[in-house]
Amino acid sequence: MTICLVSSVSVAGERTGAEVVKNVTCPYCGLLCDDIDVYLEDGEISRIKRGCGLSNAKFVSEADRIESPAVREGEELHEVSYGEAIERAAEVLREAKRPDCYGWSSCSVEAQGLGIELMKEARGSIGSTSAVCHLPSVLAMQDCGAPKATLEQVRNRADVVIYWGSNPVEAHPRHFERVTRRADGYFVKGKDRYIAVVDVRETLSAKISDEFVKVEPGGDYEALQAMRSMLQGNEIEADEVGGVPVETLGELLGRMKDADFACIFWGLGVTMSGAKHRNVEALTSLAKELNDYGRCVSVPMRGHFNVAGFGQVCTWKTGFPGFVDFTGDEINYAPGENTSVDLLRRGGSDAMLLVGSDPAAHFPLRAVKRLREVPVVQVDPHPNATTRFADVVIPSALVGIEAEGTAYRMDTVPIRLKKVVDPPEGVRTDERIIRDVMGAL
Amino acid sequence: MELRIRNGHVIDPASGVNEVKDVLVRDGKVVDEVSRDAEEIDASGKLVVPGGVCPHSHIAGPKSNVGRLLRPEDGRKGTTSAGPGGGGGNFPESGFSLPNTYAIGYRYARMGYTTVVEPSMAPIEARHTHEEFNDIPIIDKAALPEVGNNWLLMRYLASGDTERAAAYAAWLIRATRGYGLKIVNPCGVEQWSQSGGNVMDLDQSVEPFGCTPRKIIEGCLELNEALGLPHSIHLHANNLGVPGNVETLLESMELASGHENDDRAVLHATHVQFNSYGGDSWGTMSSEGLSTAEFVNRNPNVTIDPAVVTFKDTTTMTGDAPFEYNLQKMTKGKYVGSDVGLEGGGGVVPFEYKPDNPVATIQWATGMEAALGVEDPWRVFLTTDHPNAAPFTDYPLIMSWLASAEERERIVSRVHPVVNRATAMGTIDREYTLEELVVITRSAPARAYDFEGKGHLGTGADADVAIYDIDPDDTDPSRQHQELRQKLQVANYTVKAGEIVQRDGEIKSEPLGSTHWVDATGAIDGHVWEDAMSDIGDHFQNYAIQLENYSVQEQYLPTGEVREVGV
Amino acid sequence: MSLVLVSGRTLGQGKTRDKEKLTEGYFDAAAFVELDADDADDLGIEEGDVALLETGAGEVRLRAKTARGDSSGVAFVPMGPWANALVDDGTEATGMPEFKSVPVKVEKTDGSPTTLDDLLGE
Repeated sequence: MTICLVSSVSVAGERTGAEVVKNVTCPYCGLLCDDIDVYLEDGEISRIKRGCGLSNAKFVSEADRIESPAVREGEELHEVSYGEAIERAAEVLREAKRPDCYGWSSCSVEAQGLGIELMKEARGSIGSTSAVCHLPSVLAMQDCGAPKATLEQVRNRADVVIYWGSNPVEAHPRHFERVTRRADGYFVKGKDRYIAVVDVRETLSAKISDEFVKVEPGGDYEALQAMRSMLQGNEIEADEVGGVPVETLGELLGRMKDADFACIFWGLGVTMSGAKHRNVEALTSLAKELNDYGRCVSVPMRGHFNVAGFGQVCTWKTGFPGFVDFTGDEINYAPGENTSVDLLRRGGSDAMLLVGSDPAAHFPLRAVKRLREVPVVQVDPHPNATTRFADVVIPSALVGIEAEGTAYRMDTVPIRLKKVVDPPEGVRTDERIIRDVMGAL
Repeated sequence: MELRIRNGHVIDPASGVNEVKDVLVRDGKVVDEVSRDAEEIDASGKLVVPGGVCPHSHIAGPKSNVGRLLRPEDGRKGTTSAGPGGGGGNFPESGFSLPNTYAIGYRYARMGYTTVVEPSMAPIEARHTHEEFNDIPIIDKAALPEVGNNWLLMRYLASGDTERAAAYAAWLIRATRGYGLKIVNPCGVEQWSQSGGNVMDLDQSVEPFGCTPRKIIEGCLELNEALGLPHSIHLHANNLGVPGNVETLLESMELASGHENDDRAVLHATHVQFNSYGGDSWGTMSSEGLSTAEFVNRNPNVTIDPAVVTFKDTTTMTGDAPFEYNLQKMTKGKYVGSDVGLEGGGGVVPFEYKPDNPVATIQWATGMEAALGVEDPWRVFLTTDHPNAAPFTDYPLIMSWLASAEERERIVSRVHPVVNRATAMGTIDREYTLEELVVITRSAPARAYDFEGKGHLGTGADADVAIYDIDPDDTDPSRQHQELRQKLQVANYTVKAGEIVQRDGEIKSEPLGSTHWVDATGAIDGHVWEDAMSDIGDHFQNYAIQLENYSVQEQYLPTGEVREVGV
Repeated sequence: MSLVLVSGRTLGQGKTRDKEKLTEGYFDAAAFVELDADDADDLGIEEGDVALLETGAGEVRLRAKTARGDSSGVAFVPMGPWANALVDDGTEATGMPEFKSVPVKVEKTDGSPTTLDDLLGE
C-alpha cells in the first residue's frame, strides 16, 4: 500500500493537511477498479479520485450502520454483546435440521471460504447471490463451456464489442472508460471500436453506443440461435426473429465475423429472461463458433464486487460453484434444489444464515414471506429490509474499506482489497464473525 | 517431536543407500540420533523411501478451477465422505480428474507423495494459484509462471536484450511468488490471440514483437543460468498434439547445447508424449517416444517427463490455447478457452483415451517409450501431466507397467492393433527396478528443482518419508506388478515434516505444507534493474490492473519459503 | 394494457443499494415504473401518476416515469422489493426466478403508491 502525505489538498476551497491512499480497489461492482485514490482527513474518508457515482456512494456518503449486535425477543431487537449474538447464531445453526446459508457476494474470498467450512460443520447448504444473478451462466458453462478472456485482452484487441442484456452505464459505470470506448488498447483505439448494445429497452448504454438493437423480452434465445444458424450459412425464412429484423441480426453477425477480435459482454438481460441458461449457451456457443473466422470471446458482467469470488472458492473447496449441501456423507451439488428461493418455496430449509445480502429486497416477495417463518441470522454492515425481521443481527466491517481481503473481478482475475480506515469501534470483520460462530458451534 | 522408523529397507538413491536401517527424525528433519522417547514405527519387511516429488501436475489455479466448474460430472465421480473412519480428512473429497483442493492433498499423501509442482501459472492470476495452494493440505508446493507469450519478454528477447529480460523475469518470478520459468508454446499463443492461428516452426515470427520461438527458448536458456535459478527452463514445445511434431521437439531441445550447469540439466522438456509423434497425418501418425529418449541419452543437459496415458476419461488443460481450440473441434464437446491479455492464454477440454482408438493407443505407447527409452533414470521423471494424460492417482499403475514387460505385453495385445505398426512397444523389454522407480518419482525430480531437503533421507533432509508394505528383498516387481501397484497406491505411512499425516489410507493430520518460491532479483545490477522497472511501468499502461496491485502480497504465503539466489 | 415486466439495475438504486436501504433515497430510487412514452400515452398515464401493476404473483402501485429512449412493450421497475412483489418464487428448477419478461397488466389508479411497510409489514 502506498500512503503519501499530501502537503495541501484543496477540498471545497479549504486548505487542509490530508493523507491519500493510492490504487485502492473499489468494493462495489464486478469491474473492481483498483485505481481509486482515497483521501483521508482525521481518519475518515473525505473524498475519492477516479471513482464513479457508485464508488463515491460506497466510499464517501454517510451510511446507516448496524450499531450493535442484537437479538430479537418478541417483536423487538435487543442490543447484546458480540459474544451473546454469536452464541445465539450458533444455537440457530445447531438446532436447525437443515440450515441454509446465503449471500457472500459482498464479502472477501477469505470469509467465503470460512463460510463454506462453517456450513460443512453445520451440515447445511450454502450458495451465493449468483442464484438470482449469473447462476444461469454457470449452468451454461457446465453444459458447454465458453471462450473466456481477461479484460486486458479485450482492452488491447477488441475492435467489435457487443453488450448483450447489460447496461454498464448504470451497473458498471467505468466499463466504457476502462475496457472499451474510452480505453485505448495496444492494437486498437477506444474510439475505433464498434460498440453495439442488444437490449429490450434503449438504455443509457444504448444511447452512447454505435448501434442499439432492440430485442423483444424473452427473444434473446431465438435471436442468438438465428445468428448461429446464419453463421453456418443458412437463410432465415422470416422477417424478424426475437423481435429483431433478420437483416439487422445478419449485419451484426457480419461485423462480428469480420472483426479481428470481438467480445460479447452479457448481463442479467440474458440470464434472467426467457430461456435463462439456454440463452447463455446460445451466446457463448456463438462466440466460440466465431473463432473459425476471427477471434471472439465472451465475458459475463458480474454484479457485486466479489460474487465471482464465491464461485471460485466454493469450486476449489468442494468441486462445485455453490448450491452444495453437506447434509449427507458426500458433498451434494444441486442448483435449482439447493438454491435458497427453491428451498424456501418447498420448506426445505429451517434456518437461514445471511451474510452480506438482503433477500427481503431481492427475493420474490413470496419467498420473503417464507423466509420470515424461519429463524434468520444476519451478518451485514448495514441495516436493510431483511433486518426488519432478522432474529439475530451481527454488524460487520466493510471489506475493501475497513478490512482487507481478496475479490475476483468479472473476468476472474483476483485483486487485493485494501483496508483504508478502521471500522467503527468494536465492529468485527466477516472473517472474525464466521470464525467465532464456528468456534461456538 | 521425535520419530524412529525402525528396521525398514531404505532405498535412498541420492545418498547411495539401499539397505535395512533406521531412519531417525527430530523437529521435521532427518537426524543421526533420537532419544529413547521417540515414537516408533516398525518398518520391518517394508520399503522406506523419501516422500514423492511430483514435478509437473496441474493442481491449482484458474485452469484447474475452471475445469472443476466445467465438469460437475467429474466432481461427482470422486465424492467420498468426510471424517475419521471415512478414510478421508476433515473435508469431504470430490472429483476424479479434477479433485477439490482437499482431495489433492489427501490423495497425494495416500500415495506417499509430499511435494508437488504446479507448472503453469498465468502471472496476472498468480494470486488465485496461491489461494488454492493454501487450501491444499499436507503437501509442499511450488508454481512456475508462464513467460513464453509475454509481451515485454518477447520484446526484450526479439531485440536480444537478455539483461533486461533477466531483470524482468526475476521481477515476474518474485511478483508471482513463482519458482522458475515455464514456456508454453512460445509465440504460438500470442499468434492465436491475434488471428486464431499458431506458429508452426521455431523461426516463425510473431508481429509486431518480431519474436520467434527460437529467440524465446535461447533467451530464456541464457537468462535462466544468468539468474542462477534452481530449476532449468521448463518447456512445453510448439506444435503440441499433432503428428510429426517430434521434429519441433528435437530442434527445441537441441537449443540447450552450449548451455551448462554442473548441478542439473538446463532444459526440461515436459510432457514429451504429446510432442513426440511421427507421421504427417492422423492416419500415418506413429510414436517417436524412443527418438526423444535417444536424444536425452545423448544430451546430458536435458531432462524430460513423459506424461503417460492410462486410458481414462480425464480432462485436458493447458496454456496452449490454440491446441485446446483445435481439440474441441475434434471432441465437439465442452470447451473453455481462456485468453489472458499480454501474457498468454489456455483452455480446458474433457477427453477420454479409449484403448480401441488408434491415436490414444499411439499416445500410450509414446509416453511409455519415452520413459523406458531413457537409460539414466535421473533424467526422466514420472508424470501424467495431471490431468492431461491421466489423473495423478494413476502413478502406481504406470510404475507397475514400467516394472513389468509381461504386463505391457498383455496391454499391447488388448489395445488397437496400430500398436504393432506405429510403435515400438513390442520390442522393449526394459524393466525398471524398484530403485529406479524411486529415482524417477523422488530423487531425480527433487534434484531437477534443487529442492535441497527433498528426494533423499540423508542427515538434514526434510523428514518427508513414505513407507510401503513392499519388501524389496522378497518382491519381483516384474511378476508381482499388480501387488506392487496396490501397495504403491496406499502407503502404510506417510510422514510429512516429521509428522505422520497418513496411515493405510486414513488421513491422520492435515498440516499446511510450505510454498516454495524464488527471489532472484538480487542477481540484477542496479542500472539494469532501473531500466527494466521503467519498461515495466510503461508495459502496465496496457493492463486493467495497477502495477502496485499486481504482485502477490505476503498475505497469500502463510507458509512461504523463499529461496534467494544471486545475492 | 399488457406489457412485460423487466426489473434491473439503475444508477440510483445502485447508489443507495449498500448503504441506505431503509431511507427515502432508496425508496425513491427503487419504487417507480418506467414506461415507454407511447405506451404511457395509450394507457393515459402521465409522469407522476400512480400506476397499478398486476401479475400472477401480486400487485403494486408505483409512480410512473416515461422512458427517454425506445422502451415499447416494457414496464421497467428497478430491482428491489417493489419489483419482487410482482415476481413468482417458482424457478422451474433453475434456481432463478423470472425477474424479467413477466407479463404484467398496467393501468392508471387513484390509489397511493405501495410502501415498504405495505409489502413487508411494519
